[in-house]
Amino acid sequence: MLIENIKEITIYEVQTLKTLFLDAIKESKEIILDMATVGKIDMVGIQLLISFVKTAQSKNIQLRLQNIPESILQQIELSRCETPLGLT
Amino acid sequence: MNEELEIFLEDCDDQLQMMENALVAMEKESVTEEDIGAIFRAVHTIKGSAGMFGFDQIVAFTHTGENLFDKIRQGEIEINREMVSLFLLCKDHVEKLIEAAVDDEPLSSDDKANGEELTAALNVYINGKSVKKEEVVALENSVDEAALSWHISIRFNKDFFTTGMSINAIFKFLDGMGKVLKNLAITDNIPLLEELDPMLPYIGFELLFLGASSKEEIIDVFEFIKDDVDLIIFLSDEEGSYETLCKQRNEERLQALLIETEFTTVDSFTQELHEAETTVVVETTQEEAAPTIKKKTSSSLRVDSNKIDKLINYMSEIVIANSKILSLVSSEDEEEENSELHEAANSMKELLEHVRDGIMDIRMVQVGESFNKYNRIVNDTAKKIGKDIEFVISGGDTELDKTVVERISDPLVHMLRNSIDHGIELPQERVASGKSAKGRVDLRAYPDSGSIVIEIEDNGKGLDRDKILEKAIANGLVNKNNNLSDEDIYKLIFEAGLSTAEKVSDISGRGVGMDVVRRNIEDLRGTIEIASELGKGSKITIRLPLTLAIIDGFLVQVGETKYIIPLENIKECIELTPKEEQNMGDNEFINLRGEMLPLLNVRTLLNEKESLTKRKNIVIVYFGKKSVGLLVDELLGEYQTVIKSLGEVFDNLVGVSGGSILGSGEIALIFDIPRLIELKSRVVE
Repeated sequence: MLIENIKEITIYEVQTLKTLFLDAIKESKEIILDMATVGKIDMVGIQLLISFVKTAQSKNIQLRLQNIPESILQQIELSRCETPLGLT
Repeated sequence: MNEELEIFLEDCDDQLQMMENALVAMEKESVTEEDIGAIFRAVHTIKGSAGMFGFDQIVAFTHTGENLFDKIRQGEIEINREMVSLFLLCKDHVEKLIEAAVDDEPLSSDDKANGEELTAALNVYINGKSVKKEEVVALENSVDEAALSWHISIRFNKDFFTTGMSINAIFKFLDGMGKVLKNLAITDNIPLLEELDPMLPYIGFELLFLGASSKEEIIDVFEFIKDDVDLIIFLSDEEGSYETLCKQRNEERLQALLIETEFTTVDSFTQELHEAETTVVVETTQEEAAPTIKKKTSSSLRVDSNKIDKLINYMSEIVIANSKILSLVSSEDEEEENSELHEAANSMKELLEHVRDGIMDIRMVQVGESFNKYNRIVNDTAKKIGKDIEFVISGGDTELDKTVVERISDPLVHMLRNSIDHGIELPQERVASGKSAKGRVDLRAYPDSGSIVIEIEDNGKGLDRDKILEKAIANGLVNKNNNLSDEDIYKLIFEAGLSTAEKVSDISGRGVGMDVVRRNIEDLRGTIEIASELGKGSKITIRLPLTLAIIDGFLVQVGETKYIIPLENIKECIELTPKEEQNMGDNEFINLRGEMLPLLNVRTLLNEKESLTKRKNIVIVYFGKKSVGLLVDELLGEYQTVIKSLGEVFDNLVGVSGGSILGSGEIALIFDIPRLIELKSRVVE
């Protein structure tokens, strides 16, 4: 399953995204989160992503984050969350 | 708008207003150093706060302004009318920048162009008119601050995300202030999606930060989110600190994670974590429970210091209310023999004294704890500049008010660094002048006549009296034809003009010079003295009051006004007999048991009316080594009192540190004995 066209992963969107991610987990054993369109991320969003990754792992679901824009990657790296997100 | 932004806005408004006032004053009247200092601090503060919010545009613009003002402050560039007008325009521009940043809107193109023009104009001054600077006297803080390695453990309270503050901005800010060597995101507490409330912060961070900052400075970085974060900060090489951290955090894998990521080693943990947990049991007084509980309970309790401050405030009010009761009781008709009321009031007074002392005592901490952290600073600084120094701390068990200890810390560090950098010579120089290669710096604390004395002594090369004087004359601080004593000359190193900071960083390092040291100490109602001998060393003596809020005083009357003299400064009281008064004539001193005692006539000093009584008394007060007799009319007795500020209007009133409300509703002024003595000795000289 491919999740795409997300504009931002921030405090304003996390509730919606949580539902979206939960649905994806129920439906599919292989999820790709395409982040090419993501323009903004904050700590609330990063935390949600970490939870998403954890949940996928616990359910043996393959989750891949792809096309992460440089600016978003910088934000993630600043808070050293690349490891918990499985990006290293 | 959230609370933090509001505070930021308010703060900026204040700073900008201050800046405008100073600039306008400059346009109208002459330029004073205080105004320049005030503007510099305002710009610096705005830059710092804006940096925390990640408002990069404001930071960039104010940085340029700060640079120019720094040069003005240092005397490299002379300020002129054009510059003042330019700064007023800059101030307006900063206002616009702040507005745009807070509203999260881009700057209009006009404003943008305007900003660029202003920056260019500022740069013309910065680059163009720089004059060559004369050699700096060897007094300033040229030691590049020795960096300390701090561990910062961050967890968030549940509302953190709703504040809208970015923790990344803080990481960035810390990286500008020093270096974030390690940053470990603690993600173990983030639950699976099903249980996740996305608005709650589960994440935490463990940071290893290398920087020349004090703990207070690091805490300041978190100022705007201080209510929403749970911080634990300690020096990473402190023994047992990681064990304490793991205990406090009580997170299952934290110890393992910290070891795995090499924050610390297995060796630093003396016991297994799960065992440690069991010792944190609150002791109960119930007998049946007592035997089963481990005796090893911790006897200390962490209390928010604000709570204690609140208690002290209430206590102050109770003290005032109680003195009212006492005066009512004693003015009761004595014939009525209301002895029970008397007795009750007196035992109440005694109990209140105990409670007061108890509360004050909570705030008292041993200075040793904070002194010990200087070991590292001294060693690192010494090593960096190739000096060999023995650092000796004594009197670490001396107790001092916590606020005082905190506020004295930065000045002490600064003075220690000065001693090491400028006081102690290089080993080869020392040997050449017949000294041992190893220098020695002493840090001492001891109580003395109701105050606490802190001394920093080194056996280095001492202060060069002539060089200081030369520099002071060149800077226009003193007249060429002066008649200054050695001590007065040494004191010049605390003047703003003689001290120039050299390090320029994003955060600090520019503000703290010896003038700031002096101001900090004076703010605490303390005094600072220097003794020095060329070639042998110098000694800085700081005297600080024990507490800040309540004092035991002695009530006296002069003319129609009542005054309070702090009891701790009083040596004795004697009566001035008419015979002695006659002997005295117009002289302002008396013969006290064969020694000359200077007298200060309070009536003439403060324009009091004639005495209501015939008797005259002398209260002999002392501070440090000096004594002075205060000539007063009546002695009214001991009085416990709360110091209240008289407000800004009376800030410059010499010799009076505050006021107090008496039980009768009258106001009594509290004498500032150290200042009075200083005043008197100046007149004598």
